[in-house]
Amino acid sequence: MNMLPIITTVVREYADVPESAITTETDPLRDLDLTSYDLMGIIGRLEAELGVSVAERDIRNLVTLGDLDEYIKARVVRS
Amino acid sequence: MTVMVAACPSVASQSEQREIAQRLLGLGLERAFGVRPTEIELERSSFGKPRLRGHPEVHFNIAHCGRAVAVAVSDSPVGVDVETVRPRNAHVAARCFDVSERVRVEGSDDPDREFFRYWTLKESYVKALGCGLSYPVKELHVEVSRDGEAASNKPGAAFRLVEELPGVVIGLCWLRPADQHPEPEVVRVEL
Repeated sequence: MNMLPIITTVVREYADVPESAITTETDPLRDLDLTSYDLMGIIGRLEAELGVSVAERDIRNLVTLGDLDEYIKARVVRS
Repeated sequence: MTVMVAACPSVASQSEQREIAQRLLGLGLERAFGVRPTEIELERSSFGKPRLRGHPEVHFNIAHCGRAVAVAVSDSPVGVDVETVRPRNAHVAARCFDVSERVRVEGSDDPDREFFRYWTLKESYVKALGCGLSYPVKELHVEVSRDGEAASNKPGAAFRLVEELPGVVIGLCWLRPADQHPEPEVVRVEL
């Protein structure tokens, strides 16, 4: 299941950008000027909506939204 | 420990905030360490934390939001965070606050401001450590008393809240032995 549409919807609640500006290559901190607070809100929301858990130690490696998509997909399939 | 703070004249763009932060950093480094603006050459640690090339004794940290900018300069690792008080985010609270912190926030007279007190203190600690988003923030337990004094379960860390700018909360953390926590100097800069 492709998680990017759900991730895009949540990210756009924090970043005032068109849907077309969000791709798997997007780095939310660098490209969208989001903060760590925004990122915690986004991840917390995705955890609540999708029933997955994102470990702190893994967050540093989730640089792009594509990384986040792959990470969540793997855990949704597993659960 | 010196903290330079400035309220933005209007809601500032990211580039304007960064310009103000550079100005405050220059003022703070000169005030606290006598470092002249021409000597300022920045580099980043492996975790992305900026530092002053050639001056390992100097620690600083920068934070900005649309309403304010804060720069902390210290002789020990330091972190600062600044947030505009706005409606609190329940997802952030669930992810980053423990049960007693959430109870304190919700039981406060001003839960949104209290939320950002806790958030900025936690974020300032993570920034002082310089380990970015990988730190498990729930392991840091913070308590803010009614008079705004902040304490934690980390004996090597000192915390302060700076709330002299309207609608803004600034959290400050610096790391040094528990018996060496002199009061920070807060300098408000008019833009």
